[in-house]
Amino acid sequence: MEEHLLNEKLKLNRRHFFSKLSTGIGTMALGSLMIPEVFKGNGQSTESDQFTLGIPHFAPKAKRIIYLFQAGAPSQLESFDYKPLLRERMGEDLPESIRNGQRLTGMTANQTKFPLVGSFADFKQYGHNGAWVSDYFPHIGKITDEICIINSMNTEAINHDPAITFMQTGNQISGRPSMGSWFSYGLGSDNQNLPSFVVLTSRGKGNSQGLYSKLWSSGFLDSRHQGVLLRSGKDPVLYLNDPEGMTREDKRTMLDKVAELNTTHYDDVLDDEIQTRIAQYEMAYRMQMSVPEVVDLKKEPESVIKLYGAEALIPGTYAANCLLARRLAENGVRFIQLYHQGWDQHGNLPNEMSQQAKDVDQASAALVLDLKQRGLLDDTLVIWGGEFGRTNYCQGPFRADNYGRDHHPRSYSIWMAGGGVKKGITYGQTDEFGYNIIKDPLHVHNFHATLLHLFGLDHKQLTFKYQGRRFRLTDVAGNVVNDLIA
Amino acid sequence: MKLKLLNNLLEYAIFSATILLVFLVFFEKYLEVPMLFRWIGHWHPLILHFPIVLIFVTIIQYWRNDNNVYWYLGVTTLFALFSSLSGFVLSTENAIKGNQILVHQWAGIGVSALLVIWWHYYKPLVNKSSFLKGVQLVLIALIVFTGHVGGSITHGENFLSFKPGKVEEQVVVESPTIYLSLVQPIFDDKCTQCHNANKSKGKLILSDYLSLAAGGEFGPGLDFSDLGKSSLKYHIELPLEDEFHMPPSDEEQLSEDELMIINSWLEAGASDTLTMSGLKEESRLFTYIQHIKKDDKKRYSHLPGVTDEKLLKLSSNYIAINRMYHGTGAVSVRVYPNATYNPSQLKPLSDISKNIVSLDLSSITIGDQEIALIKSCKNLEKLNLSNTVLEDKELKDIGILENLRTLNLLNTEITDASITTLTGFPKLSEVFIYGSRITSDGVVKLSKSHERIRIFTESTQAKEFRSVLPPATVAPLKHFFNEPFKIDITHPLAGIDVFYTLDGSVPGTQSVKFTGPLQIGNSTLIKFLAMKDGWESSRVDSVLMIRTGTEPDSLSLLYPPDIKYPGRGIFLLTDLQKGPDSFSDSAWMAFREKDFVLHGGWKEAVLLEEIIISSLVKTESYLFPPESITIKAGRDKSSLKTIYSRKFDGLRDHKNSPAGYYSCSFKSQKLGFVEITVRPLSKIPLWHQGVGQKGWFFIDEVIFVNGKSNDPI
Repeated sequence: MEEHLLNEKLKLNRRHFFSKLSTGIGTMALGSLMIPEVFKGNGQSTESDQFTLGIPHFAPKAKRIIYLFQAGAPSQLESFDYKPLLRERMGEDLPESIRNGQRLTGMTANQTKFPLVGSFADFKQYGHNGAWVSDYFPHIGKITDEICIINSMNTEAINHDPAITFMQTGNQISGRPSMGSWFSYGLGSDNQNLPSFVVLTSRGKGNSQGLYSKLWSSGFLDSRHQGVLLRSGKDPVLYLNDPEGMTREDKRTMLDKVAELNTTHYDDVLDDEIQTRIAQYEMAYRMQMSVPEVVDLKKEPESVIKLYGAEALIPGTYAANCLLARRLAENGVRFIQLYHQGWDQHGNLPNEMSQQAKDVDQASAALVLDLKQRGLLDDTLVIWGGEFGRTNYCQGPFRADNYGRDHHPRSYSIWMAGGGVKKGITYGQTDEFGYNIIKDPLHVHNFHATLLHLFGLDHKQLTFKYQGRRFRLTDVAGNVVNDLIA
Repeated sequence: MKLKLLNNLLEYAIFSATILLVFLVFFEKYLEVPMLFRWIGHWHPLILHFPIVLIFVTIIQYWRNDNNVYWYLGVTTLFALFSSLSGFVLSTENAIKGNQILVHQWAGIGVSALLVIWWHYYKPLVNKSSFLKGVQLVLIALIVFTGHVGGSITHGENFLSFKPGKVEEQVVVESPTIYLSLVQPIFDDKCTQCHNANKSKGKLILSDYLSLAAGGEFGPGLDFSDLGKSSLKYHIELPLEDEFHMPPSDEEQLSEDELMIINSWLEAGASDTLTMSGLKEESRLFTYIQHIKKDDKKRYSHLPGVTDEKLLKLSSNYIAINRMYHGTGAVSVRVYPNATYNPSQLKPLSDISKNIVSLDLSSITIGDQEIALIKSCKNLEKLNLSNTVLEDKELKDIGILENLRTLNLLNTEITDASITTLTGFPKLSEVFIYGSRITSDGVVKLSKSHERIRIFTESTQAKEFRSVLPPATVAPLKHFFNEPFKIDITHPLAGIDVFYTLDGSVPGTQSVKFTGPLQIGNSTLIKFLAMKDGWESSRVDSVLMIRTGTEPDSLSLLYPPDIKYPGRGIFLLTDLQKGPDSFSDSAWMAFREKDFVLHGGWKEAVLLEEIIISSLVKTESYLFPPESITIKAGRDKSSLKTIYSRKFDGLRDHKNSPAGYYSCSFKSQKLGFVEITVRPLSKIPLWHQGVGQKGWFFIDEVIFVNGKSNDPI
């Protein structure tokens, strides 16, 4: 990265040179004093050395991610964290010794009672390791031998926006680059004809929270690492198609001329973003050919549709997005981010959650199996999960068959599959109340560090210097959790 | 006179110090240094700096012919002797002197000796003889060397050498001991700077197993009666603020991995002969070791090097060439299919064929050029030929790839005839054959060929997935209409059978099969379902299509809709458009505080027998059925009579959520003016979280039905 900065400085012409003399020379001199390797040249670099961007630091296990983000925070107590005690003590007040002063959201802070509520859905054990999965997710139950269920995720945020921002960028306040952007920055794109970071959204019938494009923003990284939202329907990428009457040749001529102008402008001001813009125009030109091909689900045989569920035929559904994600993965897209909205069950949980689960259960499991039989699961990491968990006590009026759960950052469940993650295990454990983690907590920072590690990236080395300091996805925290790695 | 006295003092001092030093060095074994002298020893690090500087000053002044050099030399010599003496005393604090200390000691004494010699011969050799030059050179060399060794003792061995950063190469050979390959390196990295043979703080030495076990002032490093109580564990686990926490709080701390290694090693018995095979598989250390083993950087060290520039040059928009990871010659190549693809584009790749470890040619037509490329990749480990029309013969032509581990033949034309070819790959461990023509017999044969081969066909779980067909859809979808029209029932999948009923009964195979467009004249409720072999039938879906009779000539609302949901205007009530599921859409208008009071008037009286109100109920969003509906009507505005009135129970039992249509029938009569009053729910019932509040009433259409609308066409 220093090297890149230096190259930029060397491009300066006389005018720039004098106008920036004070800082430029000063920086170089200071840089050479403090980091002697800066001027050493390639090949003999030492220690914290400049890893070439786009190449993993060490042997990677995974090459691409499909992140099935369940936005709104699905309840871990009705999915993967089985707590029979909550049914036994249904309606009893949550003991203060368990809550232990944990802050509450404004939505339940005024409640005088915190009645424990057990899962409306029954649980069954599946697979060789007897993993518990609720009856809302029968298909995911069938693939427990392929996945690693983590019941000990924990986060710092208690509300949706900071929590989802934290999961996606490593910071609760927006502005940092998204995970997908970091991966794109660290590993580059495999297919030059598609963006390396693609976003797909779908929405269930349950209570939803907003999704904003800041979640897939590249922050201070070069904007070529930004997530590209693919829409369902006729125009998967907005403004990608040429206006009527414009031929591909016309477009080519136009792009060449625009690039010429941009290059002239770049020579004047030396702003990197101009180069990015030129590259993006070129990529868009190629995407005009590649995107329609990739998003055309009609080419999939009926057996595949049956595997994902018939909803895969309806553009914009979660199932269709899962199938699309597999096609994008096959075509070399590095980071495929799905969001499925509607998991915010403050009330009416049994009804809404069973609906939501129906939306995602089969397609999520199908994706894992489909990747497996195609030989893609080894180096494709699939992640399923939300931004935090839900409380073990009821929000609003308490009824055993209709209740709500508030936000719970202390523990929640996710699962991962493929990409070098151990399979057929359940990692981490919460107490009998499903409130506090008692074994192997997995904090979001450690989760990020582990993901980067799976991709051959050292989370401490993947940095970007901005506003005077080096930023990382894990910022100043994070440890790789080897126990999750096969 | 005074000078003479000083001179004498200096001489005596140097003489006695020299004697003392010689005495101490030779009779070290027989001496015990008294406490007071020990205190002098601690001054060594301070005093030693004087002679170092003074030696240089003296030599410089000597060559500048300074008259006072004699004095400089004297003072220098005296300080050198003091330094040696104090250093010697300090060194006796260590029970055993390490090599470094001995070297430092003798070098220091050497410096003193040289100075004494020079000082002694100073007067006779006042002219600059070559002997003196030699002495000076040796002095300089010796003082630098002594200083260096001394520095290494106090600050650690590598402190003075230029460090090119830490080289983290954890090579785990086949059966190494955990102690030597993992535990000792941690001590070497973070502990032995202070706990070595030369500088054993707390009398603890951590440079070998026996010394570690023996421990120091705080007891044995490894307490084999209870390893949990070993002083090693005790000190690393003290809180950071504690004085005895190790490493000291201002030094680099042990990382989590390192703590884990030490603790796991202690748990496993802390033997110096423990190897990986002695670990339990579920232990963290086992996972950790497996992990570093696999990351072995040397795995691809036999491959030739290749520069980034070269890879970049060979890459194109459709040929992605990636280095596997930093510092390796291993490369993966992926060729993307595209309109401009031409086999000759692969030719330049032969330059780096030995570097290619992974090659992906999926969806590319495999011809001679492609096969030639594959053949030349001697180090190929992973080959993807999926979605190609690859046949047995072509696979055979590739020949034996010695290193091939993973072969993807998904959706190819490969048959059982290729089993022998596959058997020929000595290291093959994964084959993907889903969608190829290999039969189950072939799979059995292949699975016997290699000991640990994994064959991926259609996954067994996937076979169990049964899917429900999505419901068919009616097009065009008109919930309200005023002219007869035709509907079609379509389905996204081909080969679907749709059965339907028009009489409200549940459709099944016994019902009418949909074959072509259906004429809709009257208000119709159609129920239908889709069926197909191998799928579960779709749920029964229904569409209610309501034919309107007439539309008032004038329409007005007594009170405007609630400001939150005003809708797109009063005309939405008669625009024949059904509002969507989302109530915030402008096709809906809503009332809460005020009643919905609609006035409709006709210039000429019309025959009416029913009014249908289309509403939306979503209790979770506080959208409820109304409290009551009242219809007053008459020939004109002045002669209104109540012709319909109904109260609702407000969903006391929330389970029966109505569809949202309220049909208000009355005796068929000629009417010129109607007033429809709908009162929103005044009190939300007890079961709802909004108990006691007012409910919302959402409306998107009012249909006026006269006899005509249900006449058969």
